[in-house]
Amino acid sequence: MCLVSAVENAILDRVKILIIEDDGKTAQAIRRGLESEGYEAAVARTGEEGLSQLNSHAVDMVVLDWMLPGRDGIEVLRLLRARGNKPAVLLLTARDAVEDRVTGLDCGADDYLVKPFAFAELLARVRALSRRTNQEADLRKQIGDLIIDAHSRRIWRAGKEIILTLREFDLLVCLVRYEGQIVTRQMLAREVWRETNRATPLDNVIDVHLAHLRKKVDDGQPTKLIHTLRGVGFRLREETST
Amino acid sequence: MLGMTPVVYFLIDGRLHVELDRQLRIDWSLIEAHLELDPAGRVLWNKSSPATLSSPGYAETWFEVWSGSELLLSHFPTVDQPIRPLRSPKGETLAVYSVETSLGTPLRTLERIAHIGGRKVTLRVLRDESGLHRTLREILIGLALGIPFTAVLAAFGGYLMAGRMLSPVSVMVKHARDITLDSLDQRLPNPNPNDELGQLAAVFNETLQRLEQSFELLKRFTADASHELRTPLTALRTVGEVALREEADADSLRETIGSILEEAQHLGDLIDSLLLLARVESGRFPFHIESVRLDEIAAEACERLGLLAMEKGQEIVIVPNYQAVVSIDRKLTQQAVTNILDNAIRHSQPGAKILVRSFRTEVASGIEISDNGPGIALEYARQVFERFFRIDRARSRTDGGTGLGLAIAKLFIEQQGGTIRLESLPGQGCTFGVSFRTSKITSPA
Repeated sequence: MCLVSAVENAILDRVKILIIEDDGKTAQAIRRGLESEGYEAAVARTGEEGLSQLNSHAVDMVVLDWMLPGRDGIEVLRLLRARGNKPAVLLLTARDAVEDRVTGLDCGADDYLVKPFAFAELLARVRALSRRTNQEADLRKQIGDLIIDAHSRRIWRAGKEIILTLREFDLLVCLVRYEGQIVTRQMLAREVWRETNRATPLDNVIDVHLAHLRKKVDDGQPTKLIHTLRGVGFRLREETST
Repeated sequence: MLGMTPVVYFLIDGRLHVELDRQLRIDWSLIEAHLELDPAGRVLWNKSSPATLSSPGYAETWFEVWSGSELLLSHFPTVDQPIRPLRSPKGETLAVYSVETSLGTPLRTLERIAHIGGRKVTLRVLRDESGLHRTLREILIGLALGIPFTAVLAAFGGYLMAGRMLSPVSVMVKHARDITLDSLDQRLPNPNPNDELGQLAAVFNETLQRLEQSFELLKRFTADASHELRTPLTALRTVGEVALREEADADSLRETIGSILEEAQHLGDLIDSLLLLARVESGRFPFHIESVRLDEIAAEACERLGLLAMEKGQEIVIVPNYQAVVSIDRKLTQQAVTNILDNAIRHSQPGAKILVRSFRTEVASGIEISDNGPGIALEYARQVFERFFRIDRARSRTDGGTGLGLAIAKLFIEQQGGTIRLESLPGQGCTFGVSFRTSKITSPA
């Protein structure tokens, strides 16, 4: 198995995915699955709802069902493309005939997945699509006086570069992605160490790395960025220390 | 043509011979007129006649005068011909026959008693038959060659004509051969709709039209069924797979399992309905016709669905008619009526009132199910009986139906010879009616 290197996910903002699917169970299951992989996912149950959400929020990717009530998936897709909307679109559908695939792709879908599908395949295709759209992603981010360059994998604080190990960098990127939100050890285990089992041994490893990271990033700095919430997890936030 | 040839040949043969014989008779008379007896008793050519034996007119006319077996006078071309035998004529009769010289020349001979100057002799005239034979032979050859030639010509001509007459057919055949399942929208060209071929083409095109429509319906149904089956499968699978990826406690796992089982149930219902439809449609479902009281059917349906209605706060009112008896298959009709009632309950608002009324008239008996819900627009009144048809596609699975209930009801009722219809106006509720021919009733139980 080819391990996806952490670089692929080393983007500084979570990928936002909109799921437009009318079957409630499927939609929620996909959302839960995507979120546990570190994506930020929302659900729309109809074409209209989906379009209005796309209007109001910036979205990186759309997982779009073809057979929707009211405006069907193809209509939504056409409108999307006609407006010049850029998000990558993965078309999901029970229609598997060759003409349908061709129609779907020609109307602007970037990929096509036939139901029922293996969730692992959905994930792999989502990853592939986000690799493609990542080229445009901004790989530099600034929080307070912390600057991160995900392309060169370097960080600076107050103008001075800080050298981090591979793991420490990935850890920091994960915290940055969830900026302002709580990140549990479980999430870190999954997203940084790619470990999905409830592996208690990792807790200590995580703590150790985090301690090192905090030392490098926060020691001697006027503002602390990395915070621990006992029993819950960690958070990266620009906060004046009390 | 072959039959004609021998007839023609023999006619010509006969005619030529008749002609020759006639000529011989004339010859005989002419020659007899020119013969005379000299004082010595010899038979001589008449000296006073202008024509002599060497005149061209007599070149071909050969004759012999015999008395007994003695040749008195002979006018015959070649001298060294051997003596021909003489057939003694009986009395005055005429003998006409053919002989052959020793060289093989065929001669036609006429012999007759003549009285030349009182002397009784036998005058014999002869003509060469080989000319006649040659003519006949030429005719025969001509016929023999001509017939096959004509036959070939006729065959060829016939072939060309037939080809031209049939070429519209071969055009049609070629077009028809090109029509396959994927190109059922093609039609045969029909430049002459009024002749027989044109009528054939028109009928063929009509059949193609019906075939095309049937296939369109079938394609649509297959696509719909495929979607309806795949949707719960997808939910099943995705829910299961995602749950496995997460670490979950027993409670959320239980929830997941419950959710999966719900979908499995729905799938099972769907498959059962589809299979039932297929079996009944294929005619392989054995009907059991018996005398059935419709109010029993109505009551049974209400009992089965009473709980469902109660959950929605709906009220079902039964108006029975104990005379409504028909000859039907009880199970099928029960299923149909239950489906219709189920449909009414699902699509009516909570607190609605649903009326289930059995009726009987002289002609028809049946059950009517009416509600006071929002009603359905006229254009959908027929479509509701189509498989997987839903007016509001957003409600596809939240209301729990399979989308096949009314389609099954329609099939079951119509297969038994009954009728099913929907009457509705927006805002005025729906009335579904099922009816059968009224059967003769014995006294109600």
